[in-house]
Amino acid sequence: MMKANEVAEVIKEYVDEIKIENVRRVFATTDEERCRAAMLALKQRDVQHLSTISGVDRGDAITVVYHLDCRPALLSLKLNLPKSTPKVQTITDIFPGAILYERDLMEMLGVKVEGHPDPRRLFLADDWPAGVYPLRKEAKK
Amino acid sequence: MGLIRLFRKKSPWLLHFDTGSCNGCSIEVVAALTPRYDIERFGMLAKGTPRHADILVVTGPITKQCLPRLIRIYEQMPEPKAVVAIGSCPASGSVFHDCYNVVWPLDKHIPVIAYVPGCPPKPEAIIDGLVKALARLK
Repeated sequence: MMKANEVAEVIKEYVDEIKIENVRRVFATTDEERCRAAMLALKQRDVQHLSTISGVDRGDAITVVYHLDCRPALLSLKLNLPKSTPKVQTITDIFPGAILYERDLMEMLGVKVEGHPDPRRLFLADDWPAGVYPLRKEAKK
Repeated sequence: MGLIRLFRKKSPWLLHFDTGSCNGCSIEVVAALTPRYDIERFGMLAKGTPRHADILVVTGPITKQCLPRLIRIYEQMPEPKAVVAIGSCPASGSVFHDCYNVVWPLDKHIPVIAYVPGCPPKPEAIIDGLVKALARLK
């Protein structure tokens, strides 16, 4: 049970910039090294619900956004990755619900998730070619 | 043969196949089967197997994963057979127009007798399309 300013207090040492939109909405940007630490700190404060993980291709970089429900506050934790070698550490050991979101991230945007327990494809057709990521900007029909 | 064909036209059984639709058209197809619209006056019944079906009712924009299954089901149907495409998706992709995983139009893959446009079409329009297919089933 955390409001926006409490969430900001918990994660402030793991993130670069925090934007508090209102009492129920927080945005923050972190990096690869501190991402898991931020999640663990939130878990310590009884955050149990990872709403979803979304990915955005921004042309020169890929942004992975972890949406965490801190009740009533909603935190969107952004992680910018280089387009050439996008990789993140798995968070399935912290939030087991992340398993499907991370599989989705791997096949749709080609983000490598290290330590994922089940890195199979999720949605794409059986004969989909390897190395083609449909949600990237350069993907054509 | 003439006699068999004559009576076959009195029981054109349907097989509904959903190729990745949003379920809007599927629900309208099911609505068309209810007593309110009484599609059984044409002898039409929904069947669970392609081997008993005469008309294949296709909804959805045809996903890449679905296409081999769709063609296989079409091939399993006995002659004479007809395909009716329900909704905008099998004709033009509709909201799935530029998706990476769809291969509309349907007539690029299997012969189609009638397209019923709409997103979703009304049950009356579906019945109209099916009856037009029936006329071509001779």
